[in-house]
Amino acid sequence: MSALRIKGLRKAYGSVQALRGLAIDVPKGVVCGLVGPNGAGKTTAFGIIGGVLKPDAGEVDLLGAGRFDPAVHAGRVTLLPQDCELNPHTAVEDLLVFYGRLQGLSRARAHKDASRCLELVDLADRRRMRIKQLSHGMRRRVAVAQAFVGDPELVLLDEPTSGLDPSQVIRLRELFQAQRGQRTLIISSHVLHELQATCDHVVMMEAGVCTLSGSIDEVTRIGQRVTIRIQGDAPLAALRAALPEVQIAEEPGTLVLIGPVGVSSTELNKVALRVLLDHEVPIEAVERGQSLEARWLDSRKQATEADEVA
Amino acid sequence: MNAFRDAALVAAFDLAESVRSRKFLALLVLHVLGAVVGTLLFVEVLGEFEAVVADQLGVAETYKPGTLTDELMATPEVLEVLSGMLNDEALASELITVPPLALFYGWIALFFLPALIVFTSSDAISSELSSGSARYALFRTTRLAWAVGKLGGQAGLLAILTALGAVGVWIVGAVSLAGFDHAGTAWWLARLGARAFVYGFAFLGLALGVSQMTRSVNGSRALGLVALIAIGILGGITMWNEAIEYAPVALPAIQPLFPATHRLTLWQPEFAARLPSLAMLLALGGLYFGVGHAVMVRRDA
Repeated sequence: MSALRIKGLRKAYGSVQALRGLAIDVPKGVVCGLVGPNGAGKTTAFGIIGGVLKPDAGEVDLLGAGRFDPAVHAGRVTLLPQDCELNPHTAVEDLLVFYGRLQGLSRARAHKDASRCLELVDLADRRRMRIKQLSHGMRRRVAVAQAFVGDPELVLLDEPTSGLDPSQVIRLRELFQAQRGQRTLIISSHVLHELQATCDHVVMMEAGVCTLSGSIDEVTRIGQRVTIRIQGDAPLAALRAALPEVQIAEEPGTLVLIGPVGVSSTELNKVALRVLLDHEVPIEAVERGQSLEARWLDSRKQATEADEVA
Repeated sequence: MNAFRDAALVAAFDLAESVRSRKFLALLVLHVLGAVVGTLLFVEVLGEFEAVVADQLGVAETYKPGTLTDELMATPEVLEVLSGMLNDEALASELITVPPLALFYGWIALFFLPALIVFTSSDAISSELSSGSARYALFRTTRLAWAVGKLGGQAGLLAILTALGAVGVWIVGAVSLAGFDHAGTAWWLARLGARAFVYGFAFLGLALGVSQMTRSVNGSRALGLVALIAIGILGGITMWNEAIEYAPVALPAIQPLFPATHRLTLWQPEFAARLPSLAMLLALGGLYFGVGHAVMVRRDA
């Protein structure tokens, strides 16, 4: 079952095409990272999903109930927009209570929920302060907190950790990870190692289209790829003989093994390491899969090459 | 989701947010101080006038202004002059019964409120669209409920400012005028304040209408100013006798679409006579607001 399904989504700002037929499918209950360079269309996609921007064409299906409609989705879908200011003169708690009531909560429930959300972002002691009295990072945390008011099924977070100190980034990462299985989170970020640590699903975007998507294991090829850092030369002939169906690439000090579907990286490891040890090759490190950053760079390179061919 | 409940929530929130802002403080100073200073000037002029009359009658000058005002207002000469000015004897008969201070407040409120409202409220929505704070609300309710709520909040602000202005005028009168009719003036200030509010609502609809047409704060302020001037000029043309001679059917037909054409009717003594204008002013506020909203619902927020 999908939490979000998008097909052929298009949006232009004058002559600039922000989205060029975006297609995404995000399963329910996952923490999904939305990755892409500046101008890839992530924020535009979030705006359309959350109903604040109007698409030129395409289909959006949220929680199986069609495109965003406040009558259907208010309280079920929440959004942390990028670079949007909060009302400056209101106290933090009152603002969250207002948002809670606006999405249908009773006054008592909204107060209770505002307190819960402020605890989530470590701002319970600032509840009576006005927004304008808070630092940039604190305001960002209030903005994150408002996205968890009520019991949303789908939470869209656009750059949630921007401007936060490392301890708060870790705190939010734990918060996001704890949501897995309870609700669907889609997090847009440029901090790829952060997303790799937080997400179990990834969507990569480039120039308004999706270039790659899948579970984090699929995208980083954690089950298929092994990188071994060694000293000296690799016994390539022996490795190829031992792993005939495996693609083996060698760079100075590094061996990359990519197995076919059906061969696990554990199996690759076992065989390759035995060959290397038999040939007395010193092994410095073994890494399963590929970092999200490396995968993203690969994906960008492929996209550029495809563009050049076209 | 209940649109009425949401609009009421947004209105209450907007009013509270507005009241806490520096802008409200500036408005308060502008509005109350304007009313108080204006009233003080009025009292001063009244005092001078009474001194001249006392001199001509050969009686002693009064210590405080206001002593001769009631007697003056009751003279047939004043009624005659007023009837001539208004071209309406019934209306003139009504006006001479109104305490002069309340009359002054009513006149000044109807004259200055439109500009004050347009200057202060035409960025009420555009500023939130521009800062992005609207987005936090717009995925929780409909654009209509949110915008109507903003209109309600600004209407609340207008009601507070109108009431405080009237209170300021009443206090100045109580302190400065001899024989001040405390209850009578308060009653008339409340009545005229309510009429000024309804008149102001048409301009509030205009201000919130233009505020929905653009995300630019300066753009909406400029649009508001242009719209205010435009409807002022067009309203004036529809009432201009020489223009009516050229378009005797069209101009009187479109006359009710301009708030200024209802201003004089608001002074009518009978509620039934005022009712069409009161209803039309509220409808005009809704119409101007609706035109702006039709633009906003079709565009990105």
